[in-house]
Parts: sequence; C-alpha cells; structure tokens
Amino acid sequence: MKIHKLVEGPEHSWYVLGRDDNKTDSVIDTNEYLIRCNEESILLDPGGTEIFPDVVSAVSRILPVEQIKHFLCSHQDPDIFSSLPLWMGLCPQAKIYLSWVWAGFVAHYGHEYVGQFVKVADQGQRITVGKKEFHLVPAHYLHSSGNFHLYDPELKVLFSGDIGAALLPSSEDSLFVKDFHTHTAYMEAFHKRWMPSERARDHWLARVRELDIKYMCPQHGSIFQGADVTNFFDWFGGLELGSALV
Amino acid sequence: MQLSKLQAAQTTTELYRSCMILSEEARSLLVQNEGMKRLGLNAQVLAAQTGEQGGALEVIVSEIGRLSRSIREVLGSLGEAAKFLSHSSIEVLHLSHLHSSYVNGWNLGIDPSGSVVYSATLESVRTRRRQHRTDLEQRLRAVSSLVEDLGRIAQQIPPVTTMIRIVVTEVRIRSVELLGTVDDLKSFHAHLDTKVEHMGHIRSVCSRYIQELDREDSR
Repeated sequence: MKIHKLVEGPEHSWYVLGRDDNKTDSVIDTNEYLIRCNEESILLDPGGTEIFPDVVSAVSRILPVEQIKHFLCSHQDPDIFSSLPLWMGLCPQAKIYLSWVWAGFVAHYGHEYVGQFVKVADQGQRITVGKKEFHLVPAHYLHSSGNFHLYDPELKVLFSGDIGAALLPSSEDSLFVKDFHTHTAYMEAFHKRWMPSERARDHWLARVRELDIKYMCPQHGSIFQGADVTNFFDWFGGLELGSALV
Repeated sequence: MQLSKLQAAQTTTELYRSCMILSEEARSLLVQNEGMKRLGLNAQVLAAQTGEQGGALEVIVSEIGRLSRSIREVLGSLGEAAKFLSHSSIEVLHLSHLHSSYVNGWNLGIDPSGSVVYSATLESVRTRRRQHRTDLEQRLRAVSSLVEDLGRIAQQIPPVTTMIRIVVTEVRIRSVELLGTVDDLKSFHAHLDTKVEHMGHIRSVCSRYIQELDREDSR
C-alpha cells in the first residue's frame, strides 16, 4: 500500500493511503485518509476487513496506531468500515463519527463498540481532533441517505467520500487527476448509477462551492487539486443522475 | 497465508454449524420425548380402566415414566450444552477472523513505535480464542458423557417392551392397546439409537475441528 503525504500544515498533516498492491482484484480499490494532529489523529473511512492488514501496517509507519482517537464513517458501505472491530480492538477509546441514520446498521460490524459512536445529526457538526477543528459536511443521498464529508478549513481539503470517485483502469494509477477531461470517462458511469438525486447534488454543490478547497479527496480514484476541483463541480452539476436512467 | 486463513475460517464455520445441528437434534428429541410421556399416560389410563387386574400395568407405567423423566433430564442438559457451544463457537469464529487479520497485519509489518499495543492486542485475541476453544472442548466432553447416558437409557427400553409382552400373554388384558404401545416404544428406541449415534458423530467432528484450529494456531 502506498503512503503519500498530501499536505502539511504547521500542526497537522494529511496522508493518503491507497493503491494497495496486495489487494485482490475482486475488492474495489479505496483511498484511506489519515489526518495527524500532533498526538491525536483521525482516520477517514478506514476500509474493509480485506484491506485492514495493509492499512494498519501503513498507518503504523506514520504514527503509533493507538494515537488514532477518531474515525469517520462517511456512510454504511462495507468498504467504508467493515474493519470496525479490528480497529476498535486496537483503539478501544476512539470515537466513531457516523450519521445517526446508520448507527443501528453499522453496529452489525461490532455491537460492542456502539458506546463509542457519535451519532451525527443531519445538519452536520464541527469536531475537534487534537487542537484542530474540522467540519462534517452533509452529503445526504450522495449516495447514501445518511452521508457526511469532512472539510479542513485550515489546509483547505475536502474529503468527499464517493463523490468524485473514479473506477480507474489498472494502467491509470495516478494519485492526482492528470487530465480532467480524460478522467471524466472513469467517473461518469459511477456517478450516474450511484448518485440518485439531482436535487441532493445541487444542495451539496451550493454548500461546497462556498468552501475554499485546494484538494478534493474521494474514497476511490484520483485526487482533484486546484482548478480541477471547480472543474469537477461544473461537470458534476451538469450530469444527469438518478435511478430512472437504468 | 490466504489458503490457511480460508481453511481456518471454513473449519470454524463448520464447527459452528455442527454445534447448531447438535442443538437442533437435542431440541427435536425433546419434542419426541413428549410421545414417550404420552405412552406412559396412556398406560396409566389403561391400568385405571382395568381395575384390579391393572396392578400388573402399574410397574410398566412407572418404568415408562422413569425413562421419560431420565431422557428429559439428559436432553435438558444437552440443550444447555448445545446453547453454550453455539454461542462459544460464534465467538471462536469472530475471534479467528480478528486473529487472522491481525496476524496478516503483523506479517506485513507494524512499525516498532506501535508494535507494543499491536502485539498486546494480537496476544489478547489469541488468548481469548484459545480460552473459548478450551471451554468448547470441555463442554464437548460433557456432551459425550450426556450422549452416553442417553445411549444407556435407550438400552432400558427393550426390557420394558418385554414386560408389556409378558403382561399381554399372562394377564391377557387390553392386548391391542398394549401391543400398540410396544410398537411405539420400539420405534422410539430405534429413533433414539440413531440420534445417539448421530450426536456422537457430531461430537467427534467438533473435536476434530478444534484440533485443526489448535494446529493452525500453533503454526
């Protein structure tokens, strides 16, 4: 699994872990993001049980695993946090931020850890990791009915879950989007199929266009930076979405 | 590595499945034992209806009642043991999964800065899994003994059928009903024998699975 330091501030840094060479082909490739804020860290969408060994091994090269005090579970899918009992075995005191909608469902991955769940209300909330504040940004129905992204106002990074996700061919494993136009071919089918609501999309776009974003980090595929963030918003805004297309 | 993980998962799943079958066998026998109780009650009614001559039936009534109670007692303990086995084997399944993932993580490399907590967690999972397997093994030994008890009780059914035949021949009362009871008892006996054999088989399969997991653990 590759480890890349995405951006570094005076007191905290973002890391992206992904492009796992040990992963079997049947498992979709995912990006895990680790934000290290001195002695306290948050892991965003830690991934499924299949890739846990690689993720934990990669994380341990960045920090002692017990320094993870927070997890974000952006939505309920198995590739997001089916590794919950494995991580909680290592970090039993860590908080798990997730939509209130999914608390009872995610508990199926490990009911003994529900005491650590922070059930986030629909409007989102601000959370503190170390001394840094992050925003949990609502992204409901994109694609999950209870869905949150995370925004870092200081380093201007938006973790966007499945929005901006791309199913890359094996020949294309660049960490950052190189050519936006080419990249849309890897995103289009995914967004048309998985994002069910144009109304939800428009709400989300109105919300995130207000934010100052240098990096938009999806859970699958390449990261958008600079002008490609706006390029993505424009492209996504014009896309026809919804199950009616099937 | 992957094959071994897969085998361990399959073995543990089979162990859980076997425990569930054992539990189901005990439950179904408990239901069938109600038939045995009914035979005892029928014999009691016959004895009452037959008046003074019915005295010979009292011994049979008492024997059927005793067998039925013994069977119910053993099956109750078997049911409890099976419940424990099901619960414990789920835990073993869960812990085996955690264990293999942690081992894979360890093999891929955990930085020394985090290795103390990591290895402690791995060891704790390993210990809990070992403890559950020890508990399973102990409970399976208890199951063996209960199944043997059941086998012994089953062997006491033929003498009762012989006693009934003697009553029918000597006292010549209610022959049709009593011979019907003999047939029912014989059929229950055969059924019990089969179940005892099946449960004994499941018990040895479970032991084999546990031994396989022990071997896997020691690698």
